[in-house]
Amino acid sequence: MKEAAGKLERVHLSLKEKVNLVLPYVGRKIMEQIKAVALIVVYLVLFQVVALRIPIADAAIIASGIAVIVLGLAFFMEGLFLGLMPLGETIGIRLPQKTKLPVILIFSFILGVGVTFAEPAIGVLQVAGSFIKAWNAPLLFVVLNKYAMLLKITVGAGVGLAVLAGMLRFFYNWSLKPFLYIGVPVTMALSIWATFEPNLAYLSGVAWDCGGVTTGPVTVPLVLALGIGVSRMTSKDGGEAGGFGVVTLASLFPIVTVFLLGIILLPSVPAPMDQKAFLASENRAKAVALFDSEDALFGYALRNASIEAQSGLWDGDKTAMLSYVAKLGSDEGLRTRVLGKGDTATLERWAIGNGSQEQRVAALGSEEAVRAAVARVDVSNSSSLDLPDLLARNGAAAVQAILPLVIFLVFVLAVVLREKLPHPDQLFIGVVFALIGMGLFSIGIELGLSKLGNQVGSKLPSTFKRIELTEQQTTISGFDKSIIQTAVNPDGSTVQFFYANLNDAYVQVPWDEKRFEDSTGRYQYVPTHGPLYGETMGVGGILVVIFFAFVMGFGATLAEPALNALGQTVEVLTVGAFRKSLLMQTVAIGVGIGIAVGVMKIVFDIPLIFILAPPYAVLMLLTKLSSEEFVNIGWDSAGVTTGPITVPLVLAMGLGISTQVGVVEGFGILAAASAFPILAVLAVGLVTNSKKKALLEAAGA
Amino acid sequence: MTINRDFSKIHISLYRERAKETLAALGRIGVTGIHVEAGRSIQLGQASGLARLMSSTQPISEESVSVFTFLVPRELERDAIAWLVGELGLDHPGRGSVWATQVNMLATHAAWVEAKLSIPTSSARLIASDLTGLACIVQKGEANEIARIGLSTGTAIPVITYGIGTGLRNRLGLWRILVPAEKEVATLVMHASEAEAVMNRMIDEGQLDQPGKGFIYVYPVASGVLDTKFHVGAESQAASVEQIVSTLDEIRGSTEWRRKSFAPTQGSAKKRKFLNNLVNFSITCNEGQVEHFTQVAMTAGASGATFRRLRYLSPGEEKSAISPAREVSILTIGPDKVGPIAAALEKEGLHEAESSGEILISPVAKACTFLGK
Repeated sequence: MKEAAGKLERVHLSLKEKVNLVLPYVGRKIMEQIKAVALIVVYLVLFQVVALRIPIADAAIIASGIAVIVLGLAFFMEGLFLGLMPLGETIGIRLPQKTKLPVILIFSFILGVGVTFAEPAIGVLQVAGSFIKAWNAPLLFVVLNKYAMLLKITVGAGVGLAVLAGMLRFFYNWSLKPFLYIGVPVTMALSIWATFEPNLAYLSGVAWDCGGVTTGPVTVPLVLALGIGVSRMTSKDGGEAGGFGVVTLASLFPIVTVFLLGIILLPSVPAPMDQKAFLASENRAKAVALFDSEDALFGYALRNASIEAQSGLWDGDKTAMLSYVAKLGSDEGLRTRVLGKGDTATLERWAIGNGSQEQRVAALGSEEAVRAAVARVDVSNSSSLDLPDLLARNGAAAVQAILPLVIFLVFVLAVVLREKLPHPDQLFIGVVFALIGMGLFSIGIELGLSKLGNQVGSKLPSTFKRIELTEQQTTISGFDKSIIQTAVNPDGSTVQFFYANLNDAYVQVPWDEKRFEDSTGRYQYVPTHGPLYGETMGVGGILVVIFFAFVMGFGATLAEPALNALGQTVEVLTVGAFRKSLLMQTVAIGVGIGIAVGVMKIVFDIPLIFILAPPYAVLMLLTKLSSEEFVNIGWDSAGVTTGPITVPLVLAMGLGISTQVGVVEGFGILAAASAFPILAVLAVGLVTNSKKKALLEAAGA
Repeated sequence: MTINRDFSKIHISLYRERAKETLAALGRIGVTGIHVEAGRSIQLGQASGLARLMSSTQPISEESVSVFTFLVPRELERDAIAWLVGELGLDHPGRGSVWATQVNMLATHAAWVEAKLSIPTSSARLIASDLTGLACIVQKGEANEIARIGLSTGTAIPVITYGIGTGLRNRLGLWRILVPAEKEVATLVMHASEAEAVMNRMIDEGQLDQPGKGFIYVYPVASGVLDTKFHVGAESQAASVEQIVSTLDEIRGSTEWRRKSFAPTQGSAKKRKFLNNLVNFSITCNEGQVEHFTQVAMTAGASGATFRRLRYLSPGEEKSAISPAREVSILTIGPDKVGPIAAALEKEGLHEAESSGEILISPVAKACTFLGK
């Protein structure tokens, strides 16, 4: 017992005492996060340098980016535990005490919708939408562009219904299993059906991604805390660690709602077709339906379609096209409607960037004007580091993700429930920490981890095939063809090559006619790399890629903040009997396997359904056998794996491999990455439970 | 509402998987007002493979347990324990423990009604008396190593629960977030003769007499049937040690034969200052309010407390006025402070429906922590 009895006076600390408190605290928190990201960072660096034998570009920026991630994660996690999670749990406990079920359900639905709008990752889908060509996947195009808001609302409704259903579960102590027995087969059936309808097939990727995207690092801890609070009030027995399961529903329901949206919109969109047919006049009505107006369709076609396909807009009448373009040059109103902006700079950028020579002349008036514009307009996208923009963008995203939710929750607590805020000072600093953390964390990912992931991902195929290192391209000017030499193959055929002296190294360069520009005497030399392990598409190289995918998935998962929060929650609820480290490692192994399988899907071009159906079938069986508790925790941990660290790395790798292998879409890795961790957790759960059963049976003798 | 009546507080600790059946059993004899706390029990496990080579200490196996507590009239204590032992099979090693402490219910809320128990007579059971409970409060993550002493000396199977500490921390303003508040509370119930030696070893192991390390105290336990399964894993003998122990207990008709004498450890040889004759002042109330009442208690004279989360269940009652989410705050204080603190709490509205608070007092025989220089 301390001597400090008596009144509860504020104890004032001296500066030295404060420093003595702050330093170990900060050190501890930073160390935790260094441990969390160490594996993935060290692994990526080593893999690129040792296994791929390519030095890391922009090493200084990447290193500082990773330092920023560590700092950001430390702030963010502390903010979660100090601010967001206590707030969520308090509301969870107070809601059932102070209000009736309908109020709680309305609150849950609003929260679900709000969470979706706040989640910054939902914006990623829209960025992805800008790469989709309208004629390739009309349904996907219209959903991600014209109806982007409708898509957000649809996903939000899915999440809202999920939170609502989750609360009903807690109130009536329903099992999660029936939801899975119905929900999983429904989503599977929809996906299978979608493979027969080309438009829906493209949408199914987005549908599955929407489920994963909404369960981000802000949503998951908040929803978990809320669930735990509610189930503390409603659970009827003395055992189960309740409060899980909402995350699972929040990743299942949006899949269904997005598919429904697709099915509703399906009759109004044309089937996927080539550019020419799409822009032909027979298809005009349906094509215009994808855009806000006919002018917008013209603008889109002028920017994105080939010159030949564009002519379909005027039924192949070239003069009609040129007079239209000329009108574009003179009529500012038309320009605004078609190109979005009326100024001449926009027109010039379109003409130089996309137009044919004839179109340029028609639009700009004369050949001189075209030449002047070519000199003036820089169509390349500069990619220099823009620090103020970086800070502003990520800061805004962090504020958007956290503040509206916190304000809503505080409003509910203070106005609807008429409760005092518990520890307002702590809550406030928690929210501030979360904001700082989220901002820093996303900056760090953009600067460090994504960059590193992109480098490794794009070079990864060099393990099993020859790839071009385009960023190391060198122009040899004044190339003299007489230095070309001939070498003979074992079969007697010959190849041509020449020697080049690059950075004081004498390199043999295979001669490629296409890279030589006769008029200027320039030769474009692009170094190549690989195959490093065995021959092209050899077993060795592919095994290296699969191994890489496994460790990358494992390492990235250990750094995921939402999984960290889930693990912490499970550990606290079981008073340490189910350790956070055990859960995280189990999930990480599952994600590793999932990503490795996903990579195999891309490399061998296996249809998605073959990758998803077997594990989900096994999952249904394991779910039947597992205890309610493990089913909840296992399925929830799948929802949190697709977080801000894993997703960019996986996408970078998937994109790298699929472009090199020539497969159209890299989607599917993420879907596989969420099936296998559930399997892993349920398997561990079954082993744990059978041990326990043996213990109980031994005792019951 | 002042009550000032003596009760026996029964504690049942068993694997969480058995929580439902336990609750059902308690419902059958009419127990109401049950508090459940989640915890983990630790037992000695078996090292396998690499771990056996890497480490010299036996690994610890952790399992989730539920700890049930409820009050019964003093005269029904032994009947209740006997019935529960039979009903839940607690005389088999590995099935859990039950024990009773004697408490005084100082005051409670208006909705409190005494449970009407109807305990069927059960066959005579071997119930140990002369037990001692030991509670050790340390920083989160440190309880396993200290509680392990109960296992390695074969005296008790520890149950560890989480708590939140308060005291100096609460007076630092926002600087408090730098001081971890999460504690672990290890509870060990053992034969009274062994408690002193175990306590001394635990003080040595955890340096509990050093500043900021923790707090340990022992308290009388009136009666109980304790689990004897100290380790888990495959058996290689015709009968396990715990089977032999329970058979001998039966033959001897008591657990007295198990008394062991400990060689004094080096650390315990030195003179140590203990605090004697204290009481535990426990405030149980609805979730979210215990902190406020503890603060009131602290201004009235207490110096520190540990909060723990409980779940309140009352099998017979359909709609209970009391929140299922409850918290308890335990303050260890001198007996002279009980009156003023209780009065201050009453004035603050502890016993009103909003908080539905209850005060229990129980003796603490001996305590140890850093006492200043």
